Amino acid sequence: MEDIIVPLTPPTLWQYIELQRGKITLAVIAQIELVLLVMSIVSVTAILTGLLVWKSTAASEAVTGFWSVIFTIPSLAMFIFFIGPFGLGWLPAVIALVLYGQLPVVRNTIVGLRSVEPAIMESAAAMGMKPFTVLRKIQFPLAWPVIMVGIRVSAMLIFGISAIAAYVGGPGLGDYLFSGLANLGSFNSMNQTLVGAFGITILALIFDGLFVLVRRVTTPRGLRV
Amino acid sequence: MDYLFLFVALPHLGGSVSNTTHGQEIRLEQLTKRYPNTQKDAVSEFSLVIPAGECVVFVGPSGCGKTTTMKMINRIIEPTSGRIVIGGEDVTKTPAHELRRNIGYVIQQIGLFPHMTIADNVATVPQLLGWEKSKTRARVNELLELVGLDPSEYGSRYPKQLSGGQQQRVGVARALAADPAVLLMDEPFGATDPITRVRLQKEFRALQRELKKTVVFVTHDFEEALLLGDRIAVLSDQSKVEQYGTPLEILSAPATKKVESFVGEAASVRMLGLVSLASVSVVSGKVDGPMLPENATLREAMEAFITGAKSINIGERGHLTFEALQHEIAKTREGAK
Repeated sequence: MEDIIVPLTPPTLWQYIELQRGKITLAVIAQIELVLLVMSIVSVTAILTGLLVWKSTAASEAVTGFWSVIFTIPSLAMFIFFIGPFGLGWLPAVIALVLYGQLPVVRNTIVGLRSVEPAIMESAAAMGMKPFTVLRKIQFPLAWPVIMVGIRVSAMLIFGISAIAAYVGGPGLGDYLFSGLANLGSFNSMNQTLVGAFGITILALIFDGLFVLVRRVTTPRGLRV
Repeated sequence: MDYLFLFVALPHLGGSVSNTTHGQEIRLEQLTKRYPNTQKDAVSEFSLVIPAGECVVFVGPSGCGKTTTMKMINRIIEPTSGRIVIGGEDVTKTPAHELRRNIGYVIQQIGLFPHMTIADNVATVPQLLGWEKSKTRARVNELLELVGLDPSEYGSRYPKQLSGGQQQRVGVARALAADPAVLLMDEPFGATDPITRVRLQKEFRALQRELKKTVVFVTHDFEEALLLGDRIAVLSDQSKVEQYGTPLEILSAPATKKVESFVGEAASVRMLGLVSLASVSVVSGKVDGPMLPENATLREAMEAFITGAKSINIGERGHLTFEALQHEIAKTREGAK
């Protein structure tokens, strides 16, 4: 009997994706869920922070300063700090990402609210609007396009850093990237790495495109003409 | 003294406004503003009575506190001390937003809301007051027509799509929307080009003639003050009132050196522009010479003489010689003093 030699060539990227379709789909969904969850928390908290501090230069500088410091902590270190108090999985990942996402949104909220022309604010007050009405009907809508840019920048950051969340068992495509890199040279490791890297990149680009769309839809028409 | 202004024609004034609220008297008593950490008052014990339905112009050099004084009337700037009485009611402690809904406000930077349509901009105060939609819409249309903008063409546009002059018309319409008794205007035509400015000034004056709001108008342009003011308050540092009187009084009898320097050269020539030929006594009969309408001014008559006329026909009423004009001028000067 002749020995049958099975050629051990690794599957191509497409074959790999085909074989792992179910698992990859779950990872993609988890990735999207993670980013959406983090972005919702970031948007609400950071915009509220901005609304609270924009009037005071000192408070604005303190808040942006604080988030800038947080921003400089290496992400891997931050994820690992959180293993202690929060264990592994979604929780440490979400908390760390929420902290990273703050700076662009807080900063743009403050800049946006401050950049509304004083004459417009004064007119609104002189028409007899109460301070909260001025904020709600005039100042916030005018600041919105700037805030939106902050959210978009933040989302892109979150995508990048979320890959690293795989280190603390976080969900998403980061896992493919890291296990691929860890086993580089073995069967399929390159395919894993590529799925992780390209997957996150493609998702990020799709999100960015959606942001352009949302921005167009939510920017008041008078500001676009 | 009875006098008429030079300009009467009003190309843009479309419809007239129904049931207009006329102005209320504004009484400012010892109004003072001092900012924290400063050595002297920005405005010091400013007292003035602005009669109902008149346009009073605060004129003075920049930094004299005229804008600060005006902004204390609707309490955009809160006075440090003093009293504001509008229509007999002390409004110094009234909630600011309630006070302001009865005071129109027009500023040089216009301050239209760029994210709202022209119609929504004009509807701002009616909406705050909770007017019905149909009433608000009708009012917006009426006002846009009043300031010479076709509501069907401009109502749905945005501020950025309008020229500076058109934007300021909208600014005026917005200020008048809820039919306030009082109108505050801070150099409203200062940012427009000279041709547009003159047109807006003339239109505003004709509008004011009809609406009879109490207007406080701030400017550093003395020409503008002469053109628009029923009365002029010439202000100097810390909003000190150097003189308060009709344009004719200020031109013919400046009270202080500061007023004199503000009135500047050619006071007599300017004065001529304030006196209408209607009040001039004439010799009856028609002569060979140019014809001026009765609502023309002494200044126009003077110009006709300078360009070579021997005598001028005044409407159908009679004619005027150069000697008679000189006599009228002297009489006017004396009368104003």
